[in-house]
Amino acid sequence: MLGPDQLDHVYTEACRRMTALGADKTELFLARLALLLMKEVGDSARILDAVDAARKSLENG
Amino acid sequence: MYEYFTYRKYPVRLPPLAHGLESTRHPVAIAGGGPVGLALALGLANHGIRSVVLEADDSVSHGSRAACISRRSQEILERIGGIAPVLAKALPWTAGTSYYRETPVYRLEMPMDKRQKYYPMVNLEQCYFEQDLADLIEAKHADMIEIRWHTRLAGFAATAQGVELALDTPAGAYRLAADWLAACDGARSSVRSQMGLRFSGSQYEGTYIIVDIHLPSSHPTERRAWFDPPSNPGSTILVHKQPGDIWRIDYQLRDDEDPEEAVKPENVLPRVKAHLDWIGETAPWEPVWISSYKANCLTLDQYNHGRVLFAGDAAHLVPIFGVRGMNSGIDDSHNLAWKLAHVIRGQADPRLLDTYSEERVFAARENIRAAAKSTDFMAPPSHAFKLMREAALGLAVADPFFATLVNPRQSSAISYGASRLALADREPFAAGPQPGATLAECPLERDGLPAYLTDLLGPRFVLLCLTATRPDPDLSGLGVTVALHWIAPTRDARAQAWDKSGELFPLYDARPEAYYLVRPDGHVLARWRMLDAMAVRAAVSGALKGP
Repeated sequence: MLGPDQLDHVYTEACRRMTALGADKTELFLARLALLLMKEVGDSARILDAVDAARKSLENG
Repeated sequence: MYEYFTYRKYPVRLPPLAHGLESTRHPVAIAGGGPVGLALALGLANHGIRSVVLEADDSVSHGSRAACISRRSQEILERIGGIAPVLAKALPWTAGTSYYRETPVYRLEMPMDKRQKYYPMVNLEQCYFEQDLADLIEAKHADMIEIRWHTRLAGFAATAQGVELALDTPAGAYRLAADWLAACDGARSSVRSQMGLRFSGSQYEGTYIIVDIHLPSSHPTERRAWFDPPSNPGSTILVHKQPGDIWRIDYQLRDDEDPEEAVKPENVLPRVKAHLDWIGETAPWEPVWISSYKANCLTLDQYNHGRVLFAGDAAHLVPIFGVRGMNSGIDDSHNLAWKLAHVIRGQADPRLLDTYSEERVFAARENIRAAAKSTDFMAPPSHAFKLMREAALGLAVADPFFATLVNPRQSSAISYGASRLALADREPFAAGPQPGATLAECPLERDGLPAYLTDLLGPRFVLLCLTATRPDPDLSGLGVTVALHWIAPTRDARAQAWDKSGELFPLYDARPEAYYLVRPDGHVLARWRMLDAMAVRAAVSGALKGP
């Protein structure tokens, strides 16, 4: 598990790099990041849980 | 446009009539003389059943249309006697390349090893294929099959005993009575619409343009796909080679393009030219056929309706990606031919036709599932599919992990594992085709000559006995022939064949012995480790008479 400091770090780094790429590339960046993380996680049940959590978080507001 | 095929025009022929009704009643009338209708007629003739084929046009269908014949279809063509003229012209292929912009990201390699008798795919324009089947019928089956060209099905009435068809021809109208009607009349089936039957499933919004061109080129036969090529930014382009220097080019329209405008030559040709220029094809070329296409995932829920049976596009529509359209229709015809023949001859309960519907509806859904995955990638149906495809293609350039998403999932034979005509194994098998599957091909030596395992199949049940000891089961009195083929592990003059390559016995988990009971359409009905004549008899009679 990531600790609060580590999460803070990767969160900030991802935002910085997306910002540097420019707003027009944000969507594609996130799509590629999602695919790369799917490969890293390597477990379809966990990936689908995360996909569902993302969907529900948007449906609920 | 350039014409690469000379269409033979057939005359209309009226049969002897009595009060507007044909004097002779037919066992089977087949609506539609396309590849599925003609293959069904040949399949029935193979089982000794006569048929009359009713074709609205006065020639085989125009244009290249279905251009790719699968290995399974080639096996079926051999069974119905139609493979030689097809292979004499068709272009075999095994591989393909997918590009993202300029970069190759996926290499398709279809299964092809030294055990195979046929290539995984061969390309041949549909007009040649249909003409080959029509010529074969005229040359060898004129006594069993009559093709009535220029004869349109205007309407019909079905009863529990048969059908009466109303037919229109340029020489006048007449009626025809038949015991069975096979609807092989294509995507816009008039039989389907007259019966008020509806497809269920989904349709894709995106439109594809299909262009065939005549282009002399030495590029080898393969499947090439370009995503977002510099020649047509944002588009997806597919290129296939067909015999006679004909090339098939498919591309998807943008959402903002009007399909009716986009299919006009003045809008098609510049895009084709841009791509040919970019891939370095410099010879002069000209278009031969232009059509537009939308992907459909549709099937009837049932293919047998009393005396009316549906096959091919009349029964289901599958997206073109993966070449499951015509090929699944040929598979339908092969599944239907033996079952209908056994019912007509009184050797099977009419409920055997329920298994035709169950197995082929299952196959249609499997084909749709696989083709839809290809279509989602080739023609993304939403912004999300499009975005993720772009993301995957970009990553696939450097990482083969993501390249599998680009796999076009070409057609392969379907197994009917859940069918009541696929008996569960009593003993475990570690290898070999499972009940419901088609045979895995393997070379062997037969009567001192090189041959293949599937050469032993025919229009009958076949018991393949892979054993060193002479099999002698009593299979008499079943009402149908079960052909027994003894394949020995080593050279044995008493056996019909032997496993010269040494690959067959391991491939079928047949050490020390195994017995495979194969249906007339080449699917495994049951298999055993020990020969048990009672079990074989029960399997055959259970298949024909029902549970």
